[in-house]
Amino acid sequence: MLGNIILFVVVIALVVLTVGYSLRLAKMSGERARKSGTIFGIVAVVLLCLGLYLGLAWAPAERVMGDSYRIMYIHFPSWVGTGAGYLMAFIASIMYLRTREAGFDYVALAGAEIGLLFNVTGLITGALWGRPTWGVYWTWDPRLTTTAIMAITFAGYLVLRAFIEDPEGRARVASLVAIVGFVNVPIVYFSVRWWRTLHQVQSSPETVDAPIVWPLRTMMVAFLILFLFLMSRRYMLARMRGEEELEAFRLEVTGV
Amino acid sequence: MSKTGLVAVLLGLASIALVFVVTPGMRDAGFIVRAYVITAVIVAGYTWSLARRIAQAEKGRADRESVQ
Repeated sequence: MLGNIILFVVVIALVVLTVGYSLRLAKMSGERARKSGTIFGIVAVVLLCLGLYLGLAWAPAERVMGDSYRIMYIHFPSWVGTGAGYLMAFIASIMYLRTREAGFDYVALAGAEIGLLFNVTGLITGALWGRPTWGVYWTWDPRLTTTAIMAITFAGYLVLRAFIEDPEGRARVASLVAIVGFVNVPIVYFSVRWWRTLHQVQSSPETVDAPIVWPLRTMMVAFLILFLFLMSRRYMLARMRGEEELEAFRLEVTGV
Repeated sequence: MSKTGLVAVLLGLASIALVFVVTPGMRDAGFIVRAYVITAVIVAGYTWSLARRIAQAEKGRADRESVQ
């Protein structure tokens, strides 16, 4: 009981940290984003080293799956990064449409791009786990299909941004796409409960032994902190490019 | 290469080395190795590319400021 309460508090704290930090980025200067991001980077490196050691060398083989379950130590954390990225793209897009502050558009772009990065690693690691476990790399299971649609949607979001030159028009259209695209995220999460096909439902920590679940928790936190580090850096880049674009626009209009 | 890019590449290589050291003898070792190596390459590659793009953008900004 106490363990569950602690776990719940830790999860809420991590969600608040992720959303709070990502939204604060929108108001940060490039230098502040760099400094705060560096702290996350150092913590992520330490946690990744620890998690990789625990998952690959310390955790025992699983009774039924053998060692292939070790892929879960990067597969599941990839979905944590994906969810965090798309959630930030969604929230920051709403904030942009409300405030029209360019900082939120940069946060949305960073969230979508990093979310897609983890989406791709999640799909690849899932296929490599599926082959020895299910006998196939890929099947048109609802969970797999909705996840692939999610990746294509956010890849489309990034492509769309590249095609619109006007910064404000691009931010407005991209925000709408991110908000509509996020609708698929809860569908992905609940797909294993709504359509009971090949992909198993989410595991509860109570059904997994401690030597197997602790490396997983370490890697999940490591990927989340890595996500925050990448957010800070991608935001910095988006901000620099945005300022450069506005400067060029100003020069074009005023000729000064 | 920037400090961030260097750390990303070193961490990626270290994780690949660790996988090759600990997986021999494991059941389905080939799938585990492929999953970890591909993930390490994608994440380290993206981080390195991000660091490089930031360094280029910073250099461009510094060049523009020096011209002004």
